[in-house]
Amino acid sequence: MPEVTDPWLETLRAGDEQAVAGFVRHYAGPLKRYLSLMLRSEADGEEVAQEAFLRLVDSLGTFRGDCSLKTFLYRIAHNLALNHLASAPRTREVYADEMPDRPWEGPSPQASAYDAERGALLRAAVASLPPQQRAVVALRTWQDLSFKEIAGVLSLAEGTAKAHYFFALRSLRKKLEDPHEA
Amino acid sequence: MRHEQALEAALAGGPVPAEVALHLRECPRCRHELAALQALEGELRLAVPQSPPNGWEEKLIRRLAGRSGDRGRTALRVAAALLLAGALAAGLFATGSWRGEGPGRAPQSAAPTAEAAPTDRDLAAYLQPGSDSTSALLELAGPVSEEIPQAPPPSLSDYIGAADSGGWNG
Repeated sequence: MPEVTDPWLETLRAGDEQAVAGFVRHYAGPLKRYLSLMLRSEADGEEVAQEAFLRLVDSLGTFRGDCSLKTFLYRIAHNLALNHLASAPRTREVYADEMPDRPWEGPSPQASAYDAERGALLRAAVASLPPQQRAVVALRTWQDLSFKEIAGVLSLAEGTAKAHYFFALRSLRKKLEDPHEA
Repeated sequence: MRHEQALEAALAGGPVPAEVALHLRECPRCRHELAALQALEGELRLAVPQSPPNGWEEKLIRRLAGRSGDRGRTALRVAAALLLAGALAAGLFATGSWRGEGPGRAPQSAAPTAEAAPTDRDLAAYLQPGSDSTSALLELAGPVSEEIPQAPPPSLSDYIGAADSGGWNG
């Protein structure tokens, strides 16, 4: 795979502490949001996000540069999340028609007129998707990753990532239109 | 072209392939569903979860810096201890002074016999502070500071350079 030129890589490898701080500040918030959705818990999302950054720094010496650092970070985070889900006790599914616990509530600043209830419903619906579909939707709509990047994070073919996205949206639409339908 | 193929391609973003555009022109069901899914996409983008800041990012930054600093200082201490131990061992065996053969004889009888082989007491006496033997050993080992030299604070590069090369297995 051809090397990707990453603006962060050289400065982080050089041990530039300012670069490390900048990298964390740039990606920490979005990464935590992604993980909070995957793990359905803000506390777990924050914990796993920290672990992902630590592991990334540990791996800089052996990172081959075959993807961007952003993709690498999300890949680490996603796999940590899957491990966390596999080892954690089963939690009940959250369905679109239920009002879930809201570990990560709060209106986004740019959507002051947006219906907060509808937002909560949408987030609950996404949280109820199977992990792979949940990941693709979150990475595409909330992290703004390209399908190529999503494929890199989830170790999928790009076409598979697109298919997951389509079927996830279709599933979400059905859940939101008729929450009682499985 | 199957309906799902056309919809999947249309939702992928970027320029719509000609055959997809043709299908959408000819299939009102797909046009309707595509419009609904794109509207849902727009709503999802607005529903980004937010949480009040709690300072965790700054704590993480300090932890990353501290993690690299601790590793650097530990490495320096281990290296300094090994150097000192090596210098002392080299001095002991090189001079043979513990046998009473080199400069700075042990205060006790210098001629080892089968009965008077060097004992721990001999070595302890040899290494008495201020003894001639000790001075000779130190002189042989070279200038060794009693304190670990004050190195500049290690930077992240020291940590990254010495990082375990095991990699991440994810």
